[in-house]
Amino acid sequence: MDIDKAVHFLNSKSDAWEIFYEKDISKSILVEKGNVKNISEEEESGYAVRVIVDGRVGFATSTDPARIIEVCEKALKLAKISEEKLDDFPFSKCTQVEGIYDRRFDNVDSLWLEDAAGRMINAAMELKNVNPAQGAIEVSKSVTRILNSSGTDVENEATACSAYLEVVIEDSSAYEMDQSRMLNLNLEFVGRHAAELAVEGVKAEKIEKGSYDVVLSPIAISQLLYFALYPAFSAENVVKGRSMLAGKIGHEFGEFTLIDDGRMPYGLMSSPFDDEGVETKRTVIFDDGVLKAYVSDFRHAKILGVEPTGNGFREEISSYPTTSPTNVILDFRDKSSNIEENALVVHSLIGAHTSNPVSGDFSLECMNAFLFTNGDRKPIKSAMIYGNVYDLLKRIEVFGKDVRQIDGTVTPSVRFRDVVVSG
Amino acid sequence: MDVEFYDIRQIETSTLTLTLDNGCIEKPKYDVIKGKGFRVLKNGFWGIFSGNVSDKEGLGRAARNAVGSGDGKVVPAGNGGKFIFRVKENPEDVSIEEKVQLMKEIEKELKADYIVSTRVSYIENLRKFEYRDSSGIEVYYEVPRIGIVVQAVAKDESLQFLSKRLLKPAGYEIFRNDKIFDMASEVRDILADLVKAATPPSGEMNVVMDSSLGGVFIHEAFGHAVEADHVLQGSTILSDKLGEKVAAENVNVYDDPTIEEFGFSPFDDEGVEAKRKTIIKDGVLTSFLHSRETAAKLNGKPGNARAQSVAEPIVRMSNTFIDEGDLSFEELLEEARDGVYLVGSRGGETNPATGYFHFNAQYGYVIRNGELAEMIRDVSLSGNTLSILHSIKLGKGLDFDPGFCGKSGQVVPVADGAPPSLVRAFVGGA
Repeated sequence: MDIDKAVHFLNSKSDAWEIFYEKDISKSILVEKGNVKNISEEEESGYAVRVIVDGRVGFATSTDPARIIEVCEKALKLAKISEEKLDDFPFSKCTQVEGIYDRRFDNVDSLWLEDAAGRMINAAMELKNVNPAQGAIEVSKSVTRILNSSGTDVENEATACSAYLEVVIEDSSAYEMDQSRMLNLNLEFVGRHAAELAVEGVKAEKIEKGSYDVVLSPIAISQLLYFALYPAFSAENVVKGRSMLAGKIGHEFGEFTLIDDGRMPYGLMSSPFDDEGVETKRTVIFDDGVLKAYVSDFRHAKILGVEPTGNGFREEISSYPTTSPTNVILDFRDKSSNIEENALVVHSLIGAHTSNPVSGDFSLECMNAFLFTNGDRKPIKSAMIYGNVYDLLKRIEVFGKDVRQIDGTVTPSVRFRDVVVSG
Repeated sequence: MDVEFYDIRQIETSTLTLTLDNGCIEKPKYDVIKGKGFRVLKNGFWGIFSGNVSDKEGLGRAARNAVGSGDGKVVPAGNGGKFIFRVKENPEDVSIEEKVQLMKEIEKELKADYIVSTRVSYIENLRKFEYRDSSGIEVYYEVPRIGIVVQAVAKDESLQFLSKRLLKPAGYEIFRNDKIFDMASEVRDILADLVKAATPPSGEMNVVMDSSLGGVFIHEAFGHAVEADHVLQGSTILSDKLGEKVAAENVNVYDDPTIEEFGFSPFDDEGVEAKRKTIIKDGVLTSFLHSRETAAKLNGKPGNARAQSVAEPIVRMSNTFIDEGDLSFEELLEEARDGVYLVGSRGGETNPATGYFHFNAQYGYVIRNGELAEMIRDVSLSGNTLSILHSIKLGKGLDFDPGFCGKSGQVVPVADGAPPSLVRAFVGGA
């Protein structure tokens, strides 16, 4: 790709410009019914051009390096009708974040993947009669480069890997996963835990409708909060009136602490800069329940009149940067390693993406739920929990000690008081 | 090449997306993706590669991933062919300024004093698809897609959002009538009541689903369970139900990529010509949805493998629908007597292994003594697919709703169809 030619072209035709380039290489192995089904390698590179003409932003992207000038022209054409306002792009220097690149990824080949899949499957099959129905292990490496007319030219390399397995037995199914920046997936845990949950779920019974103390696992917490809470502290949603947290800085929402940390060492969402080149940072959103700040991309920070927090990320190369959380770390005063007694313990949820991102209302089907009563553990099927996330956050009773990172969320299991459960 | 089978796909898509957010054109973008996907089957094991490389290099890298051994096999794809979807009005011939003007006109229909936020999104897309495999078949097609999604947020006693969408394989002609304007004014009018609506009752009850929610039900709760890859994984409740009665007598379910709805495609992503497939006939499960591999393993017919861009083709739905029955809407309400009428969907999720599904309606009404009563908001529906299909009662008037369906990280355009229907299911708040 001829970046110099594009830079020369953009310098003459626009007031300001930005070129975002990314190359991803990923390799994955697919598991089906206890066997390895295929190995797949994906090489994808693409670029996005953002221009400003008379304060208006245009944007075009492609995976085809030969078309870079055509793409620049399209972006300029869109700037004419655009009402996306911006006067410049951020200037930033390159810094480093610990634990997001593992050079051992270069050694991952087909044999490594076969061996890893075998370990995960075997761990599941240690339990009798289970079917490791579906799963995958993926390793990936990416290079990101951002150049703009403010003088930014930063580059970052990162690695990531993940493992996932769904295990089925009779009418019960369960899944488990692990994700890491380093090549250190706990494959035995993924296989064994998915199998254990599936086996325990056989002969599940219905639950009586009522109010229960509910323990949500890190997976369930991540699913619920990602859809019902995180959109509310995005500066973009605050600006657009799509947030219950708009105008509520200083208000109290419970007693928990929630921090967005784009620089957390080994964090799955960590990077030295966001997808606009702004240096990432640690932002306290809720401090002991009090709303302190929103996270923000470059443009919406300007609208709100605050410093950008380095949260402008692109969902794909072809997406505009938008306000997105990074590593969201949850904390609470009281922690205990024994929080499951006399509670409904939920491993994962179905339907979290149907939560109302504006009001925070949710209604979720519990998957792999267990009712603990006086030391007895009873599998539950078709339990539904519903409520409002802001009400739920005030019902936090205690945090567990089993801290994990699931996607962006870093949390232990959390116990909530008196949650409405219907059978 | 010393392999059992290989294929090569080349896909080029260009997409224009315009969003009118609270009256301003924000995030306009143009995107062109070009890529190639390669698959090699060797010793029954698939090696896959995707990237912008020569055919020789791509096949070579795919072959290097075919290191294992397995039971993979494929059936032939048929004869191949060529198809160019002709539109009445090519969207590329309409100026971008005119498109923006149309969006601004639509936005006016969304406005009211209780509306706090509006969004009108325009999308136009052209997919060029090229396919070749080791048996020598060749396929080429071009299909355009176009549409507008309208959305508004209203505030009164509660904050509520509502959206409607018009998406078709078509040209700009679909905007040359009032349909999209009617959708916008409907969103505005419904929101006026929805922000004052009550929270729903909860528990097991009679539920009348409108076409849109019924379509989501048949897609989410049933359609995914007949995808043959799930059958091979042993992760669907319908695995051993072929030839058995799985639904009430008058239930007929089809998947049909030849209908010009959003899931339209002349060929699937394995080069198989599109055909209507009968999944349930008179209540009996007659067929699963198949890729060339699952068809070979389960003695079925291929034609249902789709992919997002150059990703691996997997078993997918296209336009999936439950055919209409003979009850009028009033008869459905009368039959329900007491319960709820639920409209539209905010998406859903299902577990094909257990048959449990859960989705949220956009809004609804209480049914009291066979008549519609007060409006309800934030309402969800859940239940078990098979028990619902056994007792479903079908109304008149089949209608399709377009959408995007995600599976294994790949998103493809689909449409779901159903008539209004009556079921018994769990209702709760959302």
